[in-house]
Amino acid sequence: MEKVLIANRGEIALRVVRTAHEMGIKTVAVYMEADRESLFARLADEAYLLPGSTYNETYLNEDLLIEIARRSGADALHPGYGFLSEISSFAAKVIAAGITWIGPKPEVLDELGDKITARRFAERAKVPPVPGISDPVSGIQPLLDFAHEHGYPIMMKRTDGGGGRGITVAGTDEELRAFYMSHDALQGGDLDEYFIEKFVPQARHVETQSGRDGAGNFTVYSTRDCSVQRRNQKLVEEAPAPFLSADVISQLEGFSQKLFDAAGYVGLGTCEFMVTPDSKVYFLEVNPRLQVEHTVSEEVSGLDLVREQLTIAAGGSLTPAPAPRGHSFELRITSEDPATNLTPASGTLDRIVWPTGPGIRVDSGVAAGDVISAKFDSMMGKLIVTAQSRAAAIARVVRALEELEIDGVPTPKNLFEKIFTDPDFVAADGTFSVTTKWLEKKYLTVAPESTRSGQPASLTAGEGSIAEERDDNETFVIEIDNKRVSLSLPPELFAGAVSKGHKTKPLSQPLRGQGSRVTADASHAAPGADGDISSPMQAVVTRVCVAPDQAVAKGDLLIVLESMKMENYVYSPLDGHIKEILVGPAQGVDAGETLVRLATVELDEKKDAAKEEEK
Amino acid sequence: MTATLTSTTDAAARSAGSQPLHQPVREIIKTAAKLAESAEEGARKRQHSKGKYTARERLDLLFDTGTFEELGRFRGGNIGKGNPGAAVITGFGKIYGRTVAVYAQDFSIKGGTLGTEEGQKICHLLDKAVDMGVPVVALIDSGGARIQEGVAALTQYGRIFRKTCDASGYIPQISLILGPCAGGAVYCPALTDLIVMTKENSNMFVTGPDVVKTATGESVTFDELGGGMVHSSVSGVAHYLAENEADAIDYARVVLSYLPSNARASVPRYSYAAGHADQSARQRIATIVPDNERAPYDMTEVIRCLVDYGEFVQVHELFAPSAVVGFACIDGSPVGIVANQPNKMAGILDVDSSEKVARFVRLCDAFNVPLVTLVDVPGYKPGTEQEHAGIIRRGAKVIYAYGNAQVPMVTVVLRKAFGGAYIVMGSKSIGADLNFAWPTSQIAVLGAAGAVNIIHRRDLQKAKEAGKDVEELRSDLISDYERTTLNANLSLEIGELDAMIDPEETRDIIEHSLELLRDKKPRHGAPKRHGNQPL
Repeated sequence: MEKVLIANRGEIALRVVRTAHEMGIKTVAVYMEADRESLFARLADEAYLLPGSTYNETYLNEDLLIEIARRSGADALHPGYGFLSEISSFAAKVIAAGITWIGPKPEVLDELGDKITARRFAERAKVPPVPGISDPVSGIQPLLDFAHEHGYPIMMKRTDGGGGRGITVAGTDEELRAFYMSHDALQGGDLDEYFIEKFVPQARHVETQSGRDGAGNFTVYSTRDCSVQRRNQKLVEEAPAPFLSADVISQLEGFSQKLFDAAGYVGLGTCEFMVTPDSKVYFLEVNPRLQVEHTVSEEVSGLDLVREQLTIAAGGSLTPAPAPRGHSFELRITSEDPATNLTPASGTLDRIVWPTGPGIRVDSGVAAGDVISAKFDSMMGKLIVTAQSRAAAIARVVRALEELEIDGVPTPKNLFEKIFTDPDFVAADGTFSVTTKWLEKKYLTVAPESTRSGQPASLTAGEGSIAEERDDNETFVIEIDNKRVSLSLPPELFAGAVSKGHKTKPLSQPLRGQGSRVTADASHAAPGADGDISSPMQAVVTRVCVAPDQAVAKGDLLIVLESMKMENYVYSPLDGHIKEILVGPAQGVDAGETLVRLATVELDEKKDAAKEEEK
Repeated sequence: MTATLTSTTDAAARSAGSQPLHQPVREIIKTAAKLAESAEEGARKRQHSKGKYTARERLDLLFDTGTFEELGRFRGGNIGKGNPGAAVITGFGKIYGRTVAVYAQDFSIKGGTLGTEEGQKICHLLDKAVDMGVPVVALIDSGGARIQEGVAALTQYGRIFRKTCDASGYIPQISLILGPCAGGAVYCPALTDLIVMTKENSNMFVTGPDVVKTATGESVTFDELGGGMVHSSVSGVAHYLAENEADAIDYARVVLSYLPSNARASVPRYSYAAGHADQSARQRIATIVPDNERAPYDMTEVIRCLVDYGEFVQVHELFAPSAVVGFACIDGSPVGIVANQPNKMAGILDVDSSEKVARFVRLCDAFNVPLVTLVDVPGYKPGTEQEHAGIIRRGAKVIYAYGNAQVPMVTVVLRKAFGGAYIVMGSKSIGADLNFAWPTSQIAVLGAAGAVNIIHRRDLQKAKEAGKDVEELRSDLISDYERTTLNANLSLEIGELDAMIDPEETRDIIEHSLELLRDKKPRHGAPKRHGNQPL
């Protein structure tokens, strides 16, 4: 392996560039225009522009990525996470192009790719999933039978869901019937896209960072606990997963190995499990990629997991994981406001000061001056804190949070302070009572401020509010008896003292960032049911760029039209070949008139590929 | 160690003892507080399961922290009997420090329906907003008129319509559709300045899918009939399609930051320090527009090179994409930008883009927002479809909008400006204050080929009769026309262009022009009741 192309952006692209450089492997980055000045594009040995303004034209543009790999001479491709990392057809294309795919092979991605096939696979591998129905359900009776056998509540999950989307919980027969009525496949609903599981109300989310090489060697680099979640999205992760019995740990590791062996999995992946208070272990899913929280496993195993990935992909052996050294926490620093139950907020980052000192690692891609948009991923960076023991690591997190300063957008900083001093979480006496619903139940029930309006404040004074106390005070450092003291004074005191150079802060323009650039692109409109590509406007055909029977890939130029003295390009919306061309140069066409008939290989419904934010 | 000096009353209260000095509260009063709490609890359950926020959570997102003041918290309720009040919340709060009025329909109470109490609360709020001269934001999430109250509920819509019309053009009014909005209720937002919808859970239609099915037999889903995507891209009813509720609310907050509180106030000003990025943007601007006048390019890139922070907040982004309109700041002062989009149908003016431009120009003119027009337009769109769709009547709206506008107007011709479209896109003749053009621009009645065919019809005919090569003559004549006529000289000579400028100068010229025009005041014409604009 000499040169690796990274088909991703941001923090994870940078992560791969760094390790590749350490290993003497050349790197090729790809970027869309908005990312031109990003650190990952600057640090890579080569970087190529992906023209276009939508993800479909850029980071999800399979053929363009492979073409760039060829052009740059890359012999391996790292997909990162999100984007194309779990798209088996892309993996197959990469392999067919003679390029090493850094990840499990396409068949494994298919088998583990959606939650329902993963369930079935686990059952075959003798690994127990949460009680449920693994096959598509078509009638109401099997649903009711299942609910009555295992008891309510039960959960209907969309197979292509993730990150908390596509989950419906039913607590009664009526709710189940209502769900059925609105999703019945016979009525054109999407019931067959769902699978059914018993809802386990109280459980921890524990996962194993696993690896298996081509020779069949298997290791668990570390376990992780990711129970601190909001809306099924992780906020705090730690390794190793604490307060588990030796029996549970061996079950976790045993199940993981069974899954990886049965799949013939080569590469790194994560097996996710639920662990109930009575120590039952249920399989959830396999994430066949690197995850956001891989960092804590690196910290406690002392290994570089990207290096492991590259080594395994190149045919080498994995490094058997040593016993965990110490304890590590990862805090996702998001632009979410605890005062509104962690709703993503927007703003301009005025100032950002990361903590430093022993045991601190920061993986971040933002800088002061950046605009944080409510429209996109709210994660600004990850703060990873490691120490010799869990207690020491908790103390270090508290210290690090004191040093962390972010102005301009709200962050969960003071929510983290609460979490890391909460007895349920700290568990000094060994009784750890955090489950996946703990954070929401305990801290994300802030009632909107206006609930209190119309009543005397003495009745409604909020208790335990985690809203950041707003501090408009001016702070000065002075010495009293030569002792250093900081004095904080309300601004009203300075109202008259203009001469001190104290003036009202000038207004600054609120920014939304370049978010609005990523929009639906009409020129890539889907073809009619029979593969008809029609003219978007009344125009004259100036060029036909394809011939009958020619194979075309998505995004290939088919026809050039001219309207009002301007060229307009008609691209192929999908892969296929040309069945028929109905127009010729200089011919006038009306809007909606069919230009070309496409025969598609198959309308390969891609799984919600754009799910960039992983669970 | 930190010592904080707090206000004296607090300090006094604290020194008086450990017990806070509060009046005792009668027991019965506490039921109100409990009622409020349990109502919110119920709202949370109902709304969250649908992936929606509660009305009060939305208020928290809309306003600066801790600034909301409610009007008539329990109005229409019965505290003793556990009825928390009307299905709409009204009040005031601050957005980026400026007061804004709000009414938020609460779907968890009687489906957010509108009855007499709700109507009166909303009308009262609109009155107060006009009295105070502050914008109104409506958070819509309602099942429509409360059928149980019959025509009494319906008449409330009439009152709201009248008050909204009254306020129109005096205070900015923005509607966010965060749930259903059906029947006559749709006209409450339709009369306001801007409508924001979300990708999910947001619907607007006059008659719902059930009625459509019974009346016409057509089967259609809620979203196909009147979802956020349809109204943002096809009908043009909605001005912004938000990713989610938080994004919708953020858009409303940001748009208001470009507008004054009312038509008598001037736009806010922001501090701006041009930096290195502005320098490189200024250099880049010339490279975006291709030399080949047939090659398309993305006008929004040009705009982003011209404005502060490259920040351009589009209005109607997905609708009629051959024109682009939106807000931005130039040297800290908000402006409205109108431009053609050569990337989409050559940047042509058709019925939809005409209405898009006209509506935006009216909005800016009503609220003292200067207009910057960037022109690259091949003309009005020809064809029976357009003529029959009323390009005369609807195209006239652009003219009426520019022809009546009294705000500072600066126009720059980037490339093409042909025919009638040249005149309507903020030309000097129609009322713009200053016009500029890039040196490569082509300003003419029509393109070269068309012009030659008309002007030299006889010459071409003669050549044909003489057995000469007609095509050769034609192409000679065309290049001659392009060289001599297809440029901006005539416009310069007749004073319709004030100067030719290099692309790199564009931002500075616009900035200086706006500075020059800062004190431009509206002039009042004939003493009419109101103009009779094409509708």
